[in-house]
Amino acid sequence: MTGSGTKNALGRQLSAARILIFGGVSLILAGMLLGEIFAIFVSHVATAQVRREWLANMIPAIERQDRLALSSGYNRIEDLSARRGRIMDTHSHIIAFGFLALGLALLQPANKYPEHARRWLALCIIAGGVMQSLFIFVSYWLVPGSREWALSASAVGGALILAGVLGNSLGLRGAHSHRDFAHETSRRLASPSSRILVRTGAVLIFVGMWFGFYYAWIFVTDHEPHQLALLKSATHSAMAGDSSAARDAILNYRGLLSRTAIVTAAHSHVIEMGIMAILLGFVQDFVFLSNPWKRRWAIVFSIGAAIMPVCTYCASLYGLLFAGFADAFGLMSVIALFAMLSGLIRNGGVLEGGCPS
Amino acid sequence: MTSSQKLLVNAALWLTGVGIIVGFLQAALVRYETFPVLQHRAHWAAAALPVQDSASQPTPSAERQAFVYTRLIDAHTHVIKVATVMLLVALLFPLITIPEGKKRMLTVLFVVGNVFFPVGVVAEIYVEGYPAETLAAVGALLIIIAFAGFLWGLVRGSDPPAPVP
Repeated sequence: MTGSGTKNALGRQLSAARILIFGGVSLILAGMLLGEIFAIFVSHVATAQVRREWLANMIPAIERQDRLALSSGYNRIEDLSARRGRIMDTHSHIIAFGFLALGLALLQPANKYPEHARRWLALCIIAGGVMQSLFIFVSYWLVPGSREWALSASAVGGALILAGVLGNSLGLRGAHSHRDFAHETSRRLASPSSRILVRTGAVLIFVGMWFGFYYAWIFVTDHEPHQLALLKSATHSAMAGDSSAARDAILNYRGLLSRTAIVTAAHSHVIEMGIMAILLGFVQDFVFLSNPWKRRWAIVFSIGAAIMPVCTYCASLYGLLFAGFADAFGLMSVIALFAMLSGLIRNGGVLEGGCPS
Repeated sequence: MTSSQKLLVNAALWLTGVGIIVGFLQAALVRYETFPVLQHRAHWAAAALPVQDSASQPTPSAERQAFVYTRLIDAHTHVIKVATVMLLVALLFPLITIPEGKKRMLTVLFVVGNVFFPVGVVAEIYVEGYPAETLAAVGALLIIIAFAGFLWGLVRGSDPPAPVP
């Protein structure tokens, strides 16, 4: 069993660091679960629905010059896009807030502000993250009057996060050179599970950066200009009464949009999994599991984190089978993260119960 | 913390703040609509105007909207994500076994890269052609080079630390 004790700032009960660690891991876990649900139950279904909408309603409506049918088809696609967009926004923002919270938790020992001020800043980050994500998520299902209210609440959440970030930044400015900070970091990352996670994470981020650099070139020179060209070709063919050409063009257009979304997801996920692996490496000291089990969960997380983005990319080339693999390996990482969170909770329970750690 | 570490931490947090503000402005500008909706509307406006009115031609501004939205969202997400990576690198500093002078140089490259890259991406909206694209590409390369240097130091020197006296 491990545990750092209560001497440093990270270990104190209800300290700013503890709020940020629990809040951060919970936000990340919520974001990953939402991502899994989105990938399995929403994304693939919505993509198929939009394609069907184009082929069954939009193209024939353009051919017939039926503005009413065109308008209703357009609105249905917009509604599907809005639902997809809201869930994606929530997924990406909630995880980003979790990363921020965990990163700031690790910097708390160097923050010169008193504990009560740091605790308020930590609450700003966590409460702001929950508010922003939650209200963005529910805004899709609300009626117009309530929707504006929810969007305002999400903006307040964003402002709380901004206040938390800037407050921490000021607290860290001119912080004295903390002699123990380097030793503490080295000690915290000394366990085998931490080292597995840190190395895996750093390599994943590096691979993700190179992949992003490569794909940016493909996107700017090839994918982005072709998207609009294909849609124009589809509408012009439909207007000319050439159904077959219009259908081919619209399938290519939807295919290219999906491919762009999937490759972008692979790029962002490989980096996010890398960030998460490193952050989890830092909190291994607070995971109240035996070392062999911590190492096992670190390996499980690393395998899921490395293979999930590869399968996501392969889904853009080889189709839904690889999307299923990506979902499965993503779930593997979620399970490992959940196991680590349960270890964190056990650690918290022991500390609060006054047992030595 | 060393001076390089402090520089990375401060730059990361301020860049995160800038990224959040850019996100706020972008959200307000498009009245809180999400990217898939904006893209759908912009593509439709650019490609299907003649369908709705046979005398109309697609306008360059409609064609441009999707391009602009993509750049703004790219800048918002990348500045925050790279700042998060900067924060992690700062935390990993004790495990990165390269001379302090090189750490300082890599830190400066990292920070400059994360300024050039989003600025270049946003500049693509206003400056046609290579200058803005080059700025973004140089920024991205600086980030990758700096991270590669830190990664090398991390892999080379991540043996278990000696016990603290």
